[in-house]
Amino acid sequence: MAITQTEKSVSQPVSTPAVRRIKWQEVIGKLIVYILLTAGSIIFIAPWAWMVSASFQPIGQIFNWPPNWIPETFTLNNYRKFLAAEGFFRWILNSGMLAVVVLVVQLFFNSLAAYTFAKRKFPGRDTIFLVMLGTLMIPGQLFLIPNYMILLRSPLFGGNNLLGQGGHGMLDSFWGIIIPYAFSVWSVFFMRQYMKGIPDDLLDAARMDGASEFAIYWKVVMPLCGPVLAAQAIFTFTFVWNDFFWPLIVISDPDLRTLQLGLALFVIKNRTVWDIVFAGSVISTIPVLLIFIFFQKYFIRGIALTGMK
Amino acid sequence: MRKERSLVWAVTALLVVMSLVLSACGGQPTAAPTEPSGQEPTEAPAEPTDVATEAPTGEATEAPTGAATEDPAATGEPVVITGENYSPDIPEPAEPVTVTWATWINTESPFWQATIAAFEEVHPNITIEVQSVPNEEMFDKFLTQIAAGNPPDTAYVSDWMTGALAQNDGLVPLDDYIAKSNIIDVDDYVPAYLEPSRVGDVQYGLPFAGETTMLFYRTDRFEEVGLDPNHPPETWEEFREYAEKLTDTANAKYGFAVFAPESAFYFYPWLWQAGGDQLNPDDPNDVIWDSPEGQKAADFYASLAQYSPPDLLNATSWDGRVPFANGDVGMYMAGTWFAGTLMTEFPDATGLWAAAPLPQDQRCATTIAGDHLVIFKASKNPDAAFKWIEWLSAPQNMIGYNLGNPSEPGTLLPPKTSLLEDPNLYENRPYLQASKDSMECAYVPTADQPNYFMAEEILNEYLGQAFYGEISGAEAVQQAAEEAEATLQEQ
Amino acid sequence: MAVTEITRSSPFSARLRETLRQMRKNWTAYLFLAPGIIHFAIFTLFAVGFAFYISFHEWNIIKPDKPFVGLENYLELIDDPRFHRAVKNTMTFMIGVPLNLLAGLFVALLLNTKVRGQAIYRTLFYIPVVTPLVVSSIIWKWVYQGDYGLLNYYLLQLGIIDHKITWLADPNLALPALIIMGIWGGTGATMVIYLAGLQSIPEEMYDAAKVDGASALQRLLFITIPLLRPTTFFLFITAVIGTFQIFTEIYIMTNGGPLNRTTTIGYYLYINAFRELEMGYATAMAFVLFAMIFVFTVIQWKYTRGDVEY
Repeated sequence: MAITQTEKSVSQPVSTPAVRRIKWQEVIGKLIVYILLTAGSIIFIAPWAWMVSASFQPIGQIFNWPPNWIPETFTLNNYRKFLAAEGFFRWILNSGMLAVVVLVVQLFFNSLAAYTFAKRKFPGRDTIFLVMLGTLMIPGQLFLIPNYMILLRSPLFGGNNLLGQGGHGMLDSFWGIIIPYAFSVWSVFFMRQYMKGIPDDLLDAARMDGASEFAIYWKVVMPLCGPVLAAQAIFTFTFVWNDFFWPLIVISDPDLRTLQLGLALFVIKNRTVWDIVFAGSVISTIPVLLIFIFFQKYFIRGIALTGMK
Repeated sequence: MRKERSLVWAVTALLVVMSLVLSACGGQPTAAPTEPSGQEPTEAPAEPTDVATEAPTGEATEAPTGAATEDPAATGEPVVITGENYSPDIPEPAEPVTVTWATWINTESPFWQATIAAFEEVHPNITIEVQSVPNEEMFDKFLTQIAAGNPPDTAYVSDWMTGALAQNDGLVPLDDYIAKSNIIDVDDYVPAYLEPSRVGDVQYGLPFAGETTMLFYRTDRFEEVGLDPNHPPETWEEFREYAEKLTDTANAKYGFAVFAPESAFYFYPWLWQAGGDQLNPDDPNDVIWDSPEGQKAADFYASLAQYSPPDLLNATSWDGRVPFANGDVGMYMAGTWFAGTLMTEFPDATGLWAAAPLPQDQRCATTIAGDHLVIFKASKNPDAAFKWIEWLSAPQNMIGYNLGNPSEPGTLLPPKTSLLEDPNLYENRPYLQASKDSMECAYVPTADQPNYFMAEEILNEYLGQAFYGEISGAEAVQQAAEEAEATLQEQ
Repeated sequence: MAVTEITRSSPFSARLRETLRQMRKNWTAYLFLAPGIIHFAIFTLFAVGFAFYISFHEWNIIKPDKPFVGLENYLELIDDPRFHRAVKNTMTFMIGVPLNLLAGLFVALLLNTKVRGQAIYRTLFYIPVVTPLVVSSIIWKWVYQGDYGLLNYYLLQLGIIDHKITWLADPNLALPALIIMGIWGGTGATMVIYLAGLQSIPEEMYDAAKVDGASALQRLLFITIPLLRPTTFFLFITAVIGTFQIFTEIYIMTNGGPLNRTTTIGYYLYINAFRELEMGYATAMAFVLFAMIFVFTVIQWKYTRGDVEY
């Protein structure tokens, strides 16, 4: 393994006036940073904070104008009602399972492709990549009907014969969500850019040592990709967890409902059961935030990529 | 490192297995949650699709909009529904078939369970499978299904959807079926409600529930400015007078609310009341809202912007509910659904508002909205499908559905003259009395123009400009008519 | 006797043989790409091809009759004033792209240093990405409201304005208001991507620079930003693409108004496809859009080369 950790050697500074002035500057600098961060955070979380507050308010107060930031009457009823909804646990389970499975599948296939585009040289590389990139520029709405058709007529799924007739294909099943989401050009693009920064020397050295291409990918490149894999994990999980429209189109079976589909049962334009929706939405944001907190620790400086000096 | 990786593999494998197991297993059907109720007039919002693209811009989830429904869940008492085979002249299916029915209604309630069970008992070879879809996304889902060739057999849809589907030849004509039915009497329906699902002389849908556009007003604000809360405005002049009295911009109080994004829809009642219309019944490409009556109505309508909160100019009638609920807007024009919204979201405002039919000019007129039962053209079992929607149209089912339940009263009425006299419907819902009275003034234009929505978009734009004061109301309808006619001729 | 064989081969077949040799040598590359390419072919290329086919037809989703109309859809776009306006609006929205990148970079840089509570701050800045749109729109509508809005309140207090402004109802202010909301919503994700990118910059570069006496600003300008170029390129392109396609937020906040000043191409496309049922027209629009973005991206690619080699 050609990675070494370097540690900065810290020498104790002597307390001269120059040093003391620098320390002062540092302190003021840090103070400004904290103020900016705190002010920014408040602006950024305000809507979410209001949502949390509203989830503890009775329906008659949620839409007070101007909005209440602190509940006038605190109530746990909204949560009680949501947790009493039949099937809510199943919804959460379904959403979680889909998000994790898609996440794992995507991390593997996307990184494989990204590495190939980033670090291998072979005929057609740039062309294929540009074609894939090009399709990112096609608006998502156009994929709806064709992909639905493909799911419906998938051979040998959901009661279909070899020609894809007779059953409902991948519709109304989790395959209909996992398979279309198994690969993402956007992620490949993202990872490729990151992997470009990995020194070629590392790979060449491994090749000279006789490592197979897959071993290079798995043992040399992937461990260096902690940050980008973590970022990808966060995005993919967030996306699948919050995804509403595609599961809506694909799934009709109540057992397969995701959390977003379940919440949508309460969302009706002019008679939305807001109190339950707010409670449910707050609950919905928790796993995503947990995933974020877990994976963001990979954004740590300190793992240096040293090449061959 | 090794351990972590094998752990990851193990977890992944476990999850993949779990997902296969979960998707294979049936399991108990989960009941939909509590009672969503209410319903939805016409405006159709939009929904994005996130199929294959991800982008790091913007926010996460989507718009929560949709239409709602009545839920006549009885309070604990067992619901008994009876019925019979209402169309013995239509053959029963020889083998068991499944009829899929798409709807946003919560069908887990006792009423619906009883209705479905009773139907299946009378027709043992037919099983009803409910496809639950929120109203917002319903049309998009239908389009996708139709394009791929597998729409549901039947559906319960709002009228604009029915119109769009019918005009594009996506539904089964029902006249023959109706003739063979013992229980469906076309003449019993309030005529205006049949229109949205009629194309030419052909009926494509059975109306099931309906509402009208009414005038809601704040009784407390009326009293404050010296108006009689029992005497809402009945003529245009009175209306303007009231709006003026209720407006006090220095204190952020307004008499009325207008919405540029929905300007065309809420213009029609005024247009019709003045004696005008949208299209010439004899020539569907001839746009006539620029007639003298139309111009008069447009000028009046545009002048109402001065009594309206400037914030709401670019909002919808749903956003505007908040100022009305807070007492900042004195009068409000909206469908009966508005009552439901007020009751659900602003219970503190109960008793402070009332509803009345719209004022009139040369005649009384108002827009209606309704929901219809339809059969999709691609259905493989249209006979069985018809029997199902016929069953729902039976009086006991229509009333049962529209009644709602005491804790969450509904806002719809059965659009059948014979049923409208049932006093049960009005017991807890005084605003529905106003709705029934409005029904007599219900007006639906009869000109058949499948591309009317293009013209409406143009009208919407110009009326919006009139609200912003860029042009006068009369100019707006004139220019809009010119452009709309050109567009319609091109089609 | 040394006989030199001269093989008569054209340059073309020589190149072809060389290419095939390279392909054989790198067969693992194709193997690694295979699953991706297969998935791509099924779920992306098919859809694109289908859409392209449709764009030459009058394709109403419901009506069975879908006649071939050649280039009519494309020609109609050229004359469509609503399309022009949508393009103009979308271009204006592009202003938000560099702002979004700057904001994300700024926050990422701040949160990449040793700040106490780093993890918490990062989470807080990410929260808008997971806040449901309906909730954000309610709060932002309140911020921008004329009579009771927060923004007006503070601006009045600070004396910056002298009367209440109805931000979302004003034809000239609605779009900037949405851009600001968009930056709020997108900075979290941009921050995450930059955070990842920042980790790939070797520590020694900074050490060496410090030894050479470079100040923090110089380190930022001459090491960090250049080395982030691949990431910036990625973010820029995807943000541009995203801006062209943005539409739910527009719909919820301003209905495309006032007076169509916030109608973007994404919104217009959706309305054409799923409300006016003009699928053919909508797909033509999508391809015109695609052409615009593609040309733009290729220029960017050639100009920045998008890559950084060590």
